[in-house]
Amino acid sequence: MSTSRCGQCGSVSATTSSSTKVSIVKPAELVNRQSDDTLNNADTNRRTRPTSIGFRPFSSALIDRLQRVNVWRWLHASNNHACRRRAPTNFRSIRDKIDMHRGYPSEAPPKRASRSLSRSLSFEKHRIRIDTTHATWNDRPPRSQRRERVSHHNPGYRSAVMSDSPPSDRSDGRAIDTVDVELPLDTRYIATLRLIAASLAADARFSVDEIDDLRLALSEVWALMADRAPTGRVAVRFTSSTAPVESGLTITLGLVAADTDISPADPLTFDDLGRSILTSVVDSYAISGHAVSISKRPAEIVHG
Amino acid sequence: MQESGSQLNILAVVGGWSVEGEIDAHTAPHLAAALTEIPDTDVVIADFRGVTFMDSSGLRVLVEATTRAVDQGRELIISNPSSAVRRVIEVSGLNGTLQLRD
Repeated sequence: MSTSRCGQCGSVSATTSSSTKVSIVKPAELVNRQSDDTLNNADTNRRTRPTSIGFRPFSSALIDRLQRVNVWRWLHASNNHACRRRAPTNFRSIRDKIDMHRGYPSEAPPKRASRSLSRSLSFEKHRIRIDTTHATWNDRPPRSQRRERVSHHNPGYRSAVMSDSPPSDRSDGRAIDTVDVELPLDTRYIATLRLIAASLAADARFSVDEIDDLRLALSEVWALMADRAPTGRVAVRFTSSTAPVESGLTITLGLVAADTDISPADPLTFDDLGRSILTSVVDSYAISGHAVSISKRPAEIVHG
Repeated sequence: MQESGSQLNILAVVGGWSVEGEIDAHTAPHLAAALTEIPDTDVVIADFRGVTFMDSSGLRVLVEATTRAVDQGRELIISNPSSAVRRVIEVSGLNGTLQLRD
């Protein structure tokens, strides 16, 4: 892929140019169903003349699906304003992107719709990458394929919730969301990460106080890592399960191996203050080598 | 370009400071710098009304400033702490060290 530079304003368009990795992965079943669409006059045009931002053509069914999660509105806006948009490097615009995600679990995902909807944003300037996948229990792949799918984005990571959840009771609309974020291990990005965590926790029906606890825990883990490897990068995986009766959020932070300068014989350890804070604010935490995992469930499901 | 990351505003007021924003590993050094000079009054008040988040980096700064104030025969009071600030002080067992006041 080549870097494209805007002719009018000279800025590299990070969200919409072909140089970046913004992509909507179209689920296979929607591709197959495309020919069955009756409202596909517009689709035909799109199919023969792909949009300028390089996406594969959209079927009306997929557009409908995207509109449900507000992604389409964003893509549409990006397309129209490609030249005027600057790279979304500041805190506020990243939050805007993340907020789109919040529409997800509050409405039940359509059962016949996609198995998964993946979205990647890549902000070249600061090299923050966000991938999200959304899977409902109704549509989950067989257990034998699941491990592979989970480890696809991030080899070596395994989500406890994905692999250990009971296979029974699949018709209750339970959903697993996996959000992968990779970002520089700089203290300035802890605010961004807290924001993502708060957003996902709110979706998983955490109370305000529980969200505060989770933000605090994340901050402690980040401070510990930033202290030890100030120039590294961190891969963060959020696994949130949302359901009427069972919710929870597991966050795994791991130093990206290529950039870390910590020896394996020198694992991360919390001091007394960090340990007592973590013990109080999350249900469990675990350190293995250079990865820290914390997990928390809301004490009481708030309905409504 | 606006810098990304958490924001912290510290305003020096009569007899103390007014603090707003989030205190974490990124912003704690700014707080430490601002709290270096303890105002010359018996009771120094840090108004935390606008602090929405604080982690252990902020705690360390506050404990240090409190200790320094006590050494100089003064008292440092954290006023109007939010529930998030109260929470981190409670779980770290520093209620006795830091003076909180609504």
